[in-house]
Amino acid sequence: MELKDLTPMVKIEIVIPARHAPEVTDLIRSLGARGYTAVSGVAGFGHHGERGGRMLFNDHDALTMLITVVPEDRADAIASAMHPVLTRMSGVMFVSETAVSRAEYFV
Amino acid sequence: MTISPLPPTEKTPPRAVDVRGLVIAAAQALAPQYPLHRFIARNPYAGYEDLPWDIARERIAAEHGTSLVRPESAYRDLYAAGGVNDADLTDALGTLVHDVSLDRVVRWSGRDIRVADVFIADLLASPEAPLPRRTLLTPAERFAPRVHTKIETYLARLGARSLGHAPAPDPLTAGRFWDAWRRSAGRDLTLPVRVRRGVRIAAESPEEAIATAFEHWEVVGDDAVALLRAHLLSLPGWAAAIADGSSGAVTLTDWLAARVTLELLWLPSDTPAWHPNAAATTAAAVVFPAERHAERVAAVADSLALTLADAERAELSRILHALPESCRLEAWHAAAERHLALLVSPRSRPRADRGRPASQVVMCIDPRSEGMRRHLEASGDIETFGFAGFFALAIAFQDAAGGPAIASCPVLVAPRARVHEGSADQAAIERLRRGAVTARTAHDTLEGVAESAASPFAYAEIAGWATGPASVARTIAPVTTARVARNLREIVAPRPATRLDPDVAFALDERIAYAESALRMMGLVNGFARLVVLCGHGATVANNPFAAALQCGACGGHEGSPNARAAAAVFNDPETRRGLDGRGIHIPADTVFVAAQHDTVTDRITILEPWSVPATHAADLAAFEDAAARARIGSGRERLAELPGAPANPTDDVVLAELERRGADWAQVYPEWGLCGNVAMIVAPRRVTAERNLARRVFLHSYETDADPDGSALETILTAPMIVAQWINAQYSASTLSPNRFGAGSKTLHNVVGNVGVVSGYGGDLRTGLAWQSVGVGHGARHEPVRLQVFVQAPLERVGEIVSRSHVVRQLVDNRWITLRARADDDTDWATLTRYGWRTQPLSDAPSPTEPTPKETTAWN
Repeated sequence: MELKDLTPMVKIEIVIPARHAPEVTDLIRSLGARGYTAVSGVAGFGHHGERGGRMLFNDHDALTMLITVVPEDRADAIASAMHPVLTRMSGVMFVSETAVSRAEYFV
Repeated sequence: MTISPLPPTEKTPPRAVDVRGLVIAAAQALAPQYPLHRFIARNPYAGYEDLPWDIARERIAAEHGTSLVRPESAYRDLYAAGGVNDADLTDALGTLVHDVSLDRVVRWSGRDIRVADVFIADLLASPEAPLPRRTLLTPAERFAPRVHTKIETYLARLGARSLGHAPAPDPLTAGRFWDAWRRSAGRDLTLPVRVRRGVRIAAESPEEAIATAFEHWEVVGDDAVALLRAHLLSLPGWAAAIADGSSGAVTLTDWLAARVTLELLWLPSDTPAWHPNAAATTAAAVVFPAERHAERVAAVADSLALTLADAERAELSRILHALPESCRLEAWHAAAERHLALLVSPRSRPRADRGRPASQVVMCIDPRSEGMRRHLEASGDIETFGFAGFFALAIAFQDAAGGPAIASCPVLVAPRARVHEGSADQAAIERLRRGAVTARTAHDTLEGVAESAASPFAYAEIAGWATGPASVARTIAPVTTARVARNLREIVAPRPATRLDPDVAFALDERIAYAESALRMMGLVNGFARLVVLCGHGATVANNPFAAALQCGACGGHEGSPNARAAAAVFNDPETRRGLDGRGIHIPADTVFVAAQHDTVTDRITILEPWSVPATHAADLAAFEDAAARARIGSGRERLAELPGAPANPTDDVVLAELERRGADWAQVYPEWGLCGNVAMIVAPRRVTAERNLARRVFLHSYETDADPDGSALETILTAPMIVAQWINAQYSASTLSPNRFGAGSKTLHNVVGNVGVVSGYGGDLRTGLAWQSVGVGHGARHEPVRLQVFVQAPLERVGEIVSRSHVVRQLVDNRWITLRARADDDTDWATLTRYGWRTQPLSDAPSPTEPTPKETTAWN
């Protein structure tokens, strides 16, 4: 398979506190995402300083990154729906172009 | 790729596709609501802690109609009673008044007056700051209160029906809620005809129904969120229970869709346009008109007995402008906090080699442990430590009787492994399980019927003949009845000698890592006694829906015994000890760890696995049990002196009998005070708090800098136990300040709704906080609502780095939801961490270390 044979998709990455992950995954699934990947315990630095860090006994405030890949027509809805969410809870969203080999898994 | 610029619909009402995101955004105002069996550490302010405390105070006033502080009259009463003094007020004013020096002296009417005294006169004499009022109202609440009341009554019934445990399947909880509700409401004769008709033809999906409401009210952007928020906060208890997710079929989107649809259909067609009150989201909820300032000036002049010339009056006016009236309550609150912080602040007590103690006891950081630790220390050669009561083992516990596994760990974490209780005597385990299944089936059936929203009356008719005599026995002789019930359980399901299997549940490297973390966190890395008692805690209570609130917060509202047993097994495990040796922690071969449980109602300390204690340590254990028996009487007498209805000057026998009675009496609404009065958390070696009566008001976490070379133990303490302590502190404060909004009102009116919560009387909103009997007596509050005062004895740089690195701690400190003080060692002054760095705060005016006995304060509710 060559790159030109891949199907263009949109990748949405959302970093949010772990306690909000269930409601956000419900949201993106209700808007057509067929699946997602969750990466727990991510850390970083941003607008509000350091985030994450060593928290042995606190899953609640750890950060989770949710990654989903959807067709372009659904990406619009997810990005739009996430906007009010991210204005009221800490977190970031990245939207980028990507491509997949098995498109049927994502539509 | 073409993604629409965000937000796409600022100028038009949001579309159905945007609704779920808006619902999530609006729901941030709801506090987490746990079901009754794990009703613990519920922080009602959680959704506001990303805001600075003063801004959140305004927001909460607008959205909940309640305050984060007491009314000014209550603070003035506190001042009169000596609970706040001029030094406290001056210190608090120092952080709030910036445009004029408090030390400046003005000369008015021929007298020299310190500016600080001007402000103190203002605090004591000016017209009281107005009480907050809720301004974020739903359209019906604002324009048609009668309709609003009818909608609320209907929705409260809907909540109980959807979330309460029905004895038979309810159509509403089967299939898609929105479809079921439209069918049900469309035929509900309690609704007006036009509402029923409208519901039947309402939108096909809840998202579309909400979008229809947005369109009707022509709300865009933030106003759309405000509309949903107003609806959620109109019945916040039911909304929070739905948001918790334990309701299954019904979602917040469903709930909101039903609300806004009913409202649209029920309100008259000429209802004016709705717009959220700007005060609710952006500005102060309470507006202080300019003329009030003139009254302030006059009141201060009168209070100081001044006859002012015009120029002097103008100067006084200018000075008072330096403290906006809206900040006065903040000054009072900070002053009250300082007063309490000084009372409990650790003193200097240099390290001294005390030799090897006969035994060491590790108890939970729960403030109730402070009293028992003090009495244990006074009753024998016992050294005590404070540590989170889950003993660093976040477990799901499966007991031998075969019931459902429980998450025995702080709500902050998910269980890391499932620990089982078992025994080599398989026949005995089988008998236990059979008996337990019988007992559980009978109990679940009776409880399910009795607590269902639909069947208690039928239950009373059918089962009254049998339960009546039992009720009489429980009322007349509660202790005997409880003993008989215990004995019956022992006959039906005898409990064999059992052990836990943490060595199977956790791999060796995990056991070593958790054991090392626990020991370094509590500063116990050498000097082990022959006997180390890991003492969890629980509370024996009868007929108390809020029993979980009295259990161990670090164990998710359960008894701490499984964690104590599992931890003792880990620390006694030879392989774990070898691993700890390799990490620089040598536990002597003659040291034995023993699991125990402190009953915070009866003050009894029970050894949980006496069969696991080797004969070589029988004498050590007997000596400890003797000391525990003496400590029980001392602690019990001290506690009874503060409990309503307890006998005065009781003998030892009366103390023990009264403690047992309170645990067994199903009519007793004050079995114990729980964590009422909690004010501070101290993370420091025990020596700086020992020999002082802190009146069970302080979370005590042991910590030694030397035992924590890289600071990771302190980081864990500040990001986990301190967070739970802050939640509990906020829960008690909110239930005290706002018993009607964030509390649960009087226990005597409670009706239990399934496992979801309680309502007061026959209906209304689900109550979200602690019962009034957890925080007050009669009309008087016993708990003093203050933000958690945290003291950490560790290098300031280390504390500062942890705060910088941890967003959750930084947010609490920067937004002033806690006060964090630190000092490197016994010889240095305490410094308070502010947004601008450390501010040294000598505690030189602190009273001598006398006993800060909690006192009843004047009623303000």
